[in-house]
Amino acid sequence: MKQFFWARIAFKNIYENRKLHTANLIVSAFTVMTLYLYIFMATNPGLKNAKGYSALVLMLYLGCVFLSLITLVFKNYTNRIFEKRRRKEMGLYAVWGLEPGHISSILAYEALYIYLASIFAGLLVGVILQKYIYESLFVLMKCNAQYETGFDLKNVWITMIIFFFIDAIILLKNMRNIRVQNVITLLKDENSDQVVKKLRTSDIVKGIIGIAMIAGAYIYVNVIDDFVNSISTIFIALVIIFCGSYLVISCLVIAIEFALKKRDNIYYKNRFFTTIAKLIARTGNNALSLVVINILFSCVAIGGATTVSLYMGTDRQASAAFKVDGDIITKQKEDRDAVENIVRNVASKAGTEIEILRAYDEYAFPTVFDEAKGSFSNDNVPVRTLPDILCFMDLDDFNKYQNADLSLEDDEIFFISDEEVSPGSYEYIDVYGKKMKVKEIIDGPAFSEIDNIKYAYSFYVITKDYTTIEMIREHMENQGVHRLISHCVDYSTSGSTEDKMEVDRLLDEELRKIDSVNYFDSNITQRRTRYERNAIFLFLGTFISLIFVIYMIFIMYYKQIQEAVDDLDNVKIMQKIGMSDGEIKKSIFAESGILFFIPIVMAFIHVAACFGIICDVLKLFMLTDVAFAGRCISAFCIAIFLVYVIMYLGSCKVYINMVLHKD
Amino acid sequence: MEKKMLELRNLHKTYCTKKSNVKYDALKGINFEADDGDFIAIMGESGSGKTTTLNIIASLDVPTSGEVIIGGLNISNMKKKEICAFRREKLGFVFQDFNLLNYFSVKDNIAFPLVLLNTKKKEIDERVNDIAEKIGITKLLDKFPYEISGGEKQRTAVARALICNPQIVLADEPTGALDSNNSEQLMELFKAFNNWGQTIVMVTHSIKSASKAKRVLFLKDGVIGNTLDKGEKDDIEFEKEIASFLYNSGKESHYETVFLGKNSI
Repeated sequence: MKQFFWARIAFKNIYENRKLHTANLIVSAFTVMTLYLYIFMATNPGLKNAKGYSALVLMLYLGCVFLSLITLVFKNYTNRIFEKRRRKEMGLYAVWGLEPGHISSILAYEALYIYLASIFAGLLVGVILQKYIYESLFVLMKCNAQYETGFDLKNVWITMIIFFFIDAIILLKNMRNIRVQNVITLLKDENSDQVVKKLRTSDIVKGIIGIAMIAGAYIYVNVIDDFVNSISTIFIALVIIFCGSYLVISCLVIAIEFALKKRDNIYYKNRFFTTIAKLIARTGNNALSLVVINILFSCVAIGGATTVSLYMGTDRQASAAFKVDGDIITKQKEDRDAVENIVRNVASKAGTEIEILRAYDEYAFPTVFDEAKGSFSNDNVPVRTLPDILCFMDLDDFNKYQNADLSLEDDEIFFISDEEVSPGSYEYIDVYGKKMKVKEIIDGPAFSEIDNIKYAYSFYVITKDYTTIEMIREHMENQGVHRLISHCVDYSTSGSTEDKMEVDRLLDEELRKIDSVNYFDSNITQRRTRYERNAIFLFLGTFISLIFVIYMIFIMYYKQIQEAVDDLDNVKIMQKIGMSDGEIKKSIFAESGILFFIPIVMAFIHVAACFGIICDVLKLFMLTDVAFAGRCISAFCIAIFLVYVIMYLGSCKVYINMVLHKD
Repeated sequence: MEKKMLELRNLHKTYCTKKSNVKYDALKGINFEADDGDFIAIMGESGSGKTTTLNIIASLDVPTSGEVIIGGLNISNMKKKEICAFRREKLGFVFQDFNLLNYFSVKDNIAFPLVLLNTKKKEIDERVNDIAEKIGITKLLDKFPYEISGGEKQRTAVARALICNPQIVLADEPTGALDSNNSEQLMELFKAFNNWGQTIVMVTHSIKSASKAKRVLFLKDGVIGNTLDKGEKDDIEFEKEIASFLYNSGKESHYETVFLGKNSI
């Protein structure tokens, strides 16, 4: 009987606060739908048709974990705002004689209703959309796959359990707060302790520290040359940027507002007077929310723009992966000619012309180069953060490869170094105890980098003939380095993408007949696997970005309602003193505008400052066209900025309607 | 002949509930005049129409019919924008709950009406310092409302009401949230400003506060029932007269309610 009573009160509470709960419900339902779709895609047998099936499934499951974690963080944060608003209500329950257990029952029923409603709505929309999302994803992946499963109860259970745990954690936290806080604290007006922040010297110092932190992190991310090995420190730099943003917003922005207040010719003007005074109060109270918005917006701008750029630039990535159409490696030197013949025959069969066909032998292994001694050995102390790779190629192949006409005497070599060494630095180089006479140090191709991102330091030794390479291999075998000599064939053909796809297909068939071929990759294969991977990235990125945007809107909407309720009495006073509705509206637009756009402007500055590092991330995925990435990121930022402007105008309207009683 | 500062002509106000469309007459024909430099107290029981009258004079509410003329201007015909300008230039307000803005310092609260009138900073400083000195709050100018006492808050509100040299100061239960000592000090302040020529219209429940006025209007059921003139009487004599009047009308009201079955609001 009692439980039924609490259940009824809980239902009534939700109904009375439906404005806030509706927003909460929409966000929760969307998150449920997204998680369900992620799980649905990951468990769908149709995905097995994709080439990199296991990697794609792993990405989707990682997406699920990430989504669950950010949902917990966001729900916890928005719950804090919500709980703050309801403290007085909880205090009143206590005054009426309800025990903490009773209040906890009401909270539990409320949480249960919201949970059930969001699960039902989210799963319903998810199940309705799953077929279309599935088909859209496979269109994006450029894969042919039929929609295979309808409704799997297991996915529903998994989604329900994950959200049950998230909501239960938040409910337990709220129940604990009710037991810990006393009635007087709960009844106290949440704004009664709020005072107008006074500017202290420490605020200015903190603000300057914030700027220094941001500037330092900007400089760091723009000067690192070893991107791959600096990922952990880049992450720390990003955390420093957001901590610096908090200090800038909570201290420096307020210091600027105080500076404006001190300027009599600005502050004592009709149009600035209330705006500046209210901003000083509002910025201080909302600093944390503004930083959260700043982080969300930066993440959306960077994450969303990156995934969009990656997908849009898939063709570019595929062609950047190889300078030629394809690359074949055999274990047997004598099969090199056979492979070349296969390429010629296949090109002819596909009706295309051979544009490039070159064969070369390469013997490579990781090592450590001592620059001072000019020696390669595993015993050397590594000084570079990336691995050193030593490659051997014979002069004949090198001349063909580079269109050069160099010559060598017996026992002479050409040396190509990735590290800057002046010509004539070494008379001899030492390769694991074997001395080799350096005829000249020459420039060579940058083998071990994608655009300007290095993944290794490569050193080339060009020998007079192939026999020398074989001798070196034997020598290295004795030293414990067991590597085979790779016999490579690069090719390019004329014709359209379809023609090249046909060449690719035929080559795949023919090369299977030669046992010694142990590697075959091409732009067409790269294109297919990249489209599959980038489509999954886009799928994950789009939904996570949408969730970030929705939470951003949600937090701002809550804050605006909260501010409007708090401002109601102030607006009445202003009206009584003679401020017109128009002046009040202008003031609200100005102060909300500044509050809305501080985090966004800072986010744009972050994105602009981190543009280099974003490009480096894209280059890791072979999107090396910086101008194209810049266009994609700009277009994406403009699009979400427009969404944000609409959100700003909408929330100002809600605010104005509330304070001017037009609602 | 003294200049008429305020005229209320046959003022009616009918409220209508939104859902059930029930009509309620708050004012049923209020007529009175105030001269320049007058100090009028309006008394009456809750629901008698005191605050409605004051809100209509303050142009915060519009009458259903009738006219309000302030300084020769009929504000009943004014447009919304004109009313805002009129309010900020010609009227000063003092409220029971002070109505100070917490994010402004005491100085900025007082200066607010002047800023709305686009007054130069130099003049703002001069006028704020001048009024603060008269009211005795010079030391509080840099404090915020939540840092000062109730009496000091109400003094600040008075300073804000007077800063623009308004034609009329309208006070709605100005001593309602103050202790007796602060109430006394505030009313002395009102009296002093009235002696300097300030017209004041005050709604109050307090007999002591009303005794400082030159005239007391008693509202009952939306009409002015009686008027008491202070004339040459001092505050204590006038206080006794008001008390005696209320005691007698209270007995009458009790008699009407108990023996004649009339409803007293």
